[in-house]
Amino acid sequence: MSMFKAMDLSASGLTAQRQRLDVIAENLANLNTTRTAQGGPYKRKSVVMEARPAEDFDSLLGSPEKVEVVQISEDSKGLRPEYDPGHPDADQDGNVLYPNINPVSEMVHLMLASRAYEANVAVLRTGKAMAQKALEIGRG
Amino acid sequence: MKIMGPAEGLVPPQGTQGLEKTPASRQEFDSLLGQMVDGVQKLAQDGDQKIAGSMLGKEELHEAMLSLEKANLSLKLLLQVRNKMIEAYQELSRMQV
Repeated sequence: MSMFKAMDLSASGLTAQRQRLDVIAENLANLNTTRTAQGGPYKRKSVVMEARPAEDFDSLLGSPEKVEVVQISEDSKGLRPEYDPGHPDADQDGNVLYPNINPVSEMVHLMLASRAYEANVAVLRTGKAMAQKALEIGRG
Repeated sequence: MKIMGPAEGLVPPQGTQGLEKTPASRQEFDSLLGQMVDGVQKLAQDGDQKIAGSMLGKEELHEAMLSLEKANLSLKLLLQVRNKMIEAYQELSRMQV
């Protein structure tokens, strides 16, 4: 039904923001991780979102596009060296490489993800209210 | 004896044969309502599955809530259609003959 079109599009937005939250949680949890399975310190991850045509829709507006997380990219630039010769992961000079995660910018991303999620929920709520209003036409 | 025989020019009643032609619209309405009921049932089952899935951590929480909301809205639409139908029926049954 066409009344669910906006709902499905917003749902894709909600899913994407949820995945973004997952990645931010991962980044913040690994703020001080110096060892990973691939070797070296943890590297900051971020989501890549892409507009995908919602193929099952065919409307006058053309094919609406939903959002999807297509990739989780790793950023290996800006790893923080810190002098700590006692650390088991220190190199010959006594430097330990720490992840390139800035907790402040992660918190900002967290807020952005939260607000974007809320925006999608607002669209959903409005869509629901409109549908209910349409059903009220027949009442009384 | 002549009275018992069918009067000339009169066609004997054909039971429901004659009636079957006209209610094409009624059948359409029947199948429309049936389709709607099926659709609502499907959405409700979908909602159940999504809820179970989200409890098990397989589905996103909002997907579950969304499918419940969809089921709710389509049930409301179905109820409105039914109300209208009953209303029309009552209107007709109150008609003076």
